Amino acid sequence: MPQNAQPLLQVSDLTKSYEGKRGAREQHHALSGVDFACGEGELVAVIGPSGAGKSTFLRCINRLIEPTEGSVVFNGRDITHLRRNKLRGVRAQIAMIFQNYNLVYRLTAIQNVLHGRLGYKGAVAGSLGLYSEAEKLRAFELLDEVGLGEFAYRRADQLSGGQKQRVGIARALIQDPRIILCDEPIASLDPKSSRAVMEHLRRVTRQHGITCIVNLHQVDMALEFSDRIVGLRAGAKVFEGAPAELTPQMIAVIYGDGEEGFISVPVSGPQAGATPASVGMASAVPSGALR
Amino acid sequence: MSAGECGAMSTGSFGNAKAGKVPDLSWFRRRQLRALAVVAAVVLVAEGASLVGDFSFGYALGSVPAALAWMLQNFCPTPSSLGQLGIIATQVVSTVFDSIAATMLAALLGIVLAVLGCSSVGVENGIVRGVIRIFANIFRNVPMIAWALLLLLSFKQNEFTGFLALFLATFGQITRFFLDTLDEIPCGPIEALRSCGASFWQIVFQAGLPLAVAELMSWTLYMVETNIREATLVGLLTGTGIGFAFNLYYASFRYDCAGLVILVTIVLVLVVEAISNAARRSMI
Repeated sequence: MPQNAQPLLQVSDLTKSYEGKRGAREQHHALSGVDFACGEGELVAVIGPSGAGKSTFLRCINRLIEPTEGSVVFNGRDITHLRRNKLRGVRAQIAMIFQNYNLVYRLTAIQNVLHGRLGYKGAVAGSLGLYSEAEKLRAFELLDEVGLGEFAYRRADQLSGGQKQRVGIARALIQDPRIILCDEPIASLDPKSSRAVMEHLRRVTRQHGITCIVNLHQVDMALEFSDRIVGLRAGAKVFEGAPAELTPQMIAVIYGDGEEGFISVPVSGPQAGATPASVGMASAVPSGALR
Repeated sequence: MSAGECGAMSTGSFGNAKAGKVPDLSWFRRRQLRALAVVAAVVLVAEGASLVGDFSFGYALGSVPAALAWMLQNFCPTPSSLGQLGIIATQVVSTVFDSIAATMLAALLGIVLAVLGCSSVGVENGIVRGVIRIFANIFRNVPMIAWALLLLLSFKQNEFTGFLALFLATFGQITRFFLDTLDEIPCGPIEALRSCGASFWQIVFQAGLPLAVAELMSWTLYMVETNIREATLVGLLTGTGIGFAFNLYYASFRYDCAGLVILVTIVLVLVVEAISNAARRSMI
């Protein structure tokens, strides 16, 4: 990323905390003081165990979740406190794709793609689904681009997982976004479809100069496809650097109480902390400093 | 080292801990005995109640054949009653269209309230949502017959009273059905549209309603079917439609014509049900 120029996205001291349960005084920090910046055409992978705050991080950027503290500056403009139509205008430029595709499954593929234009449309035209000829042609073009041209009039619930995610990508692209936020885009896909989706995302960044911020569970995919990797743990950024800098030790730090070699399958369950192996691990990792 | 091995190890230790104990199988026997006890209790209660209430099951059962024969004899439409078919058909048609109109109007207003009041696409204002829910619940819990009796006093016996009674009772119920349906649509697609910059009404029309449309239509059809049945009952009170026709024949001892009214109603309900089932199937 060119450090001298104004970054496309600048996130400073981003914090999201939730009030504790009634009675309990302490707050739960989903994110605490995350600083992050990225430029045009970058593919940034965000890795970390479940519950590390990856999803919250992405959703604070397009304000699906309201950050408690900190600021988000997009394209030179502070968007942290935008309301209503101004927020809609910014969201139109920041697309998002999801683990569960989040298509309106009763509608056709082409209708789902055209949903990406809603941020640019008036209330009546958007509600009634009245799109311009140019928008319809562009939607077809994008479906062709992701290899689904012949499925345009197929209902979304009749598509396979990989196809659904590609409709999701087309829906993101028709927004003409500057950034695409990808929340675990391949977590529900088989290896082959996963690879296809990651390749699409990489092509998007290379050919269209669109920035992709991708939450991933698969460290190997992050290493292979990303330009930069950010490691989150317990809501804090514990690593940022090129894929080459992500050492096994660093992975162990990010995934905390896991075991050596336990990269792509983060350990969970209450008994994990009690096994001798992870006790040894915990002493090797300065975990106290991370929390 | 893999997750699979980890799992196998833990299952192994689990098995070892239990290995020494003989499983307790008497649970099955106790369950059977309890089921038997429940059946015995039900029979005893029924016997006891009929003793107290001076009701003899055997006598009641014995009188069924004679009663059935009487019904068949008297309520069976005769050739002379077929002459009344024209009048009956007119009343039936008016009843059907009354119920359909009342249901549709209730559905239209209900969907507006449900969209505003549901938790998935609805307005974020908690007060609006609370008021809509309370409103729907109050309307729903007043039975249709109560509405009819209430309205009878101020609107007298006419078609409009019946329509209003059907409408008010349906309105509360269908709003409640719609609220529950819209509450349960998946939040993912709605989040996706919000992230695209879609506005409230765009989300309602492009995600909320398409995701729920099959169920909304299904509830509406259900209410149409229910209301045709209810309308005959309401008509008895408001003196309109097929209910009135039945009452008239019944009171003037034209049992054969009353039977014809029942027959026509049954056929009608079956036809409407067949049509709405076909509509449902085509909408999945």
